[in-house]
Amino acid sequence: MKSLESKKLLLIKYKYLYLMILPGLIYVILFRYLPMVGIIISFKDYQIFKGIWNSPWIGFNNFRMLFESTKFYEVFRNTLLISVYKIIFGFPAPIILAILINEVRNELFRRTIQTVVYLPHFISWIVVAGLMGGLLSPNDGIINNIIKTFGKEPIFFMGSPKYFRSVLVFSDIWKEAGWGAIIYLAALAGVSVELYEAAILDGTNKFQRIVYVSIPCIMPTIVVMFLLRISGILNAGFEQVFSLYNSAVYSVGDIIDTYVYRVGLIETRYGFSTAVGLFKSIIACVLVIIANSFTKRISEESLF
Amino acid sequence: MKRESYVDKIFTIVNYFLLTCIGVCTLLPFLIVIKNSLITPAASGVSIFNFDDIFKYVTLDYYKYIFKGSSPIIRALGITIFRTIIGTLINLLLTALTAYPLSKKSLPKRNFFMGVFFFTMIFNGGLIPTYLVVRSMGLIDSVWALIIPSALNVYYMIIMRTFFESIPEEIEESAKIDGCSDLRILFNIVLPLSLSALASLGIFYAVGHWNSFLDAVMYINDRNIWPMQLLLREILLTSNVNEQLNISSSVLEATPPPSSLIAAIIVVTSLPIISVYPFLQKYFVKGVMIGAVKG
Repeated sequence: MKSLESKKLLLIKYKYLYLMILPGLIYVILFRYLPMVGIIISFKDYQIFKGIWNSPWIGFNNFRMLFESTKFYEVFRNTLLISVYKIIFGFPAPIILAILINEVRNELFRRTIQTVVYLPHFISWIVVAGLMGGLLSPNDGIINNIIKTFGKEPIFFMGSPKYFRSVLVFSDIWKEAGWGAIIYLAALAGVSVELYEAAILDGTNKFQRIVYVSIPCIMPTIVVMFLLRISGILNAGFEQVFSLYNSAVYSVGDIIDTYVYRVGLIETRYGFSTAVGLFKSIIACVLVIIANSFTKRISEESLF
Repeated sequence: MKRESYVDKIFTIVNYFLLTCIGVCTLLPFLIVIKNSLITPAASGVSIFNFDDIFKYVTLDYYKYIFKGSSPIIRALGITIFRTIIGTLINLLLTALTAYPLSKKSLPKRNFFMGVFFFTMIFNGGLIPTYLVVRSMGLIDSVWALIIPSALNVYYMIIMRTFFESIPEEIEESAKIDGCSDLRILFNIVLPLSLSALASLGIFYAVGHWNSFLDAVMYINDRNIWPMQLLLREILLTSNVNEQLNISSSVLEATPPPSSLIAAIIVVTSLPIISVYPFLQKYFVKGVMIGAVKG
């Protein structure tokens, strides 16, 4: 047990260090913890003139409303579906890309292709939405021009519920697969040369070395990234959907985040919107904790 | 060097071919938009590969047009540049100040403080409660709403802390014996040794600021302080078939923006950040890796 006296001494000794943390601490208290206190409005009938504290309590009414609304199930389903599609089609993309790049021996080509595939990561989803015009427009978009040369009807991708989710999945792969490859490239660079040399002596070809050496060696990275991705399954891409969707595709494209935004800020139903958000936050939090305990078991390293 | 087998040769050729295709597909949308921003619609019949004729149709008029007079584009670009530079400086300062003490294993209650920061990564108050906090601080319709609510990214702070931990303790010890305060050690010794980490986090923060728009959508109603991304969004929405957001007085009042003007605006919105990143490649690759090893 430390005496009060020695505690004081410690405080004096470390006073500059504590002073340094202070601004960051104030920041998280104001902008991260204070909003957590604000969650109470999901149990209230928030009225602007009464404010957070004086608005009347309504218990779980907002949550009851939530579970009774068909819109919520639609939004929840969209979120899961979009995420699952992105995982199925999008998760392998950076791994394959990294393996292909890793096999390139020409330094200039390698650097060039890396720079090119990182490029889309650096633009905003709004810009992507703009680029899509030139690509997918039914009038003069390059994709529809190709469709037209085959004598088919042009497709209005951005406004068609049939294709909108595919647009989300493909644009996500186009934008982030290159960036996602960085981590696997780093893992591949760490694979010992001796393993490859031994495999060459065994008379394997390049393809066999990828399957029997490269992939098993980066498997821990793949598993950790997969768990991380699964734990973020409720994040279907707020910025992306927000930039690309329109009222014609709400039925397939509206996700929890965009719903929270519209109900909250456009319709100003603060209490209900916060309840939807809280529902998401709690599930997301539990998923992250589960994913972390799995990661701990698989690799020595844990996410936190 | 061992002679390549037949299978290996085919593999190599297919690999280069695939990667070239991927590269072309990645660049294609950019090339289309650059072409649209430079060539008049009168050239519609002329092939892009007909070099003799196509150059007759190249024009910078669209760029001149969008920057004409007191164009909203100039103002919006100004806001974006301001938030990117000032915002990133504040980000880096706060990140370093917070990460440094937390990198000291001897700091009493270190784990408690780590926990306080860490918890914000797995749980958050949500959109509306955060909005209400920002509003109650009077930040609505202020440029600072784009900077202060995102002043610190806890994940990047942890990356910075990991980097600080890798700096040998002895270097700081000797300065301490000479009577340097912790603050001077951080600024005069530790930060100059951490330039690569500062560069990688700096570009993460800067890209975030340049491309961010959700905060502006939520906190900025006054179109005079809209950042570039939000202006572009409005321009895209008003010319598109989006009946939902029908906002009066189009940004470019004289003419409804044709696709060439939009293309020029897209180029202006993305070019600054795109022209910087290739030079910082080795830094951000490093940043991603520190973040992955221990996040």
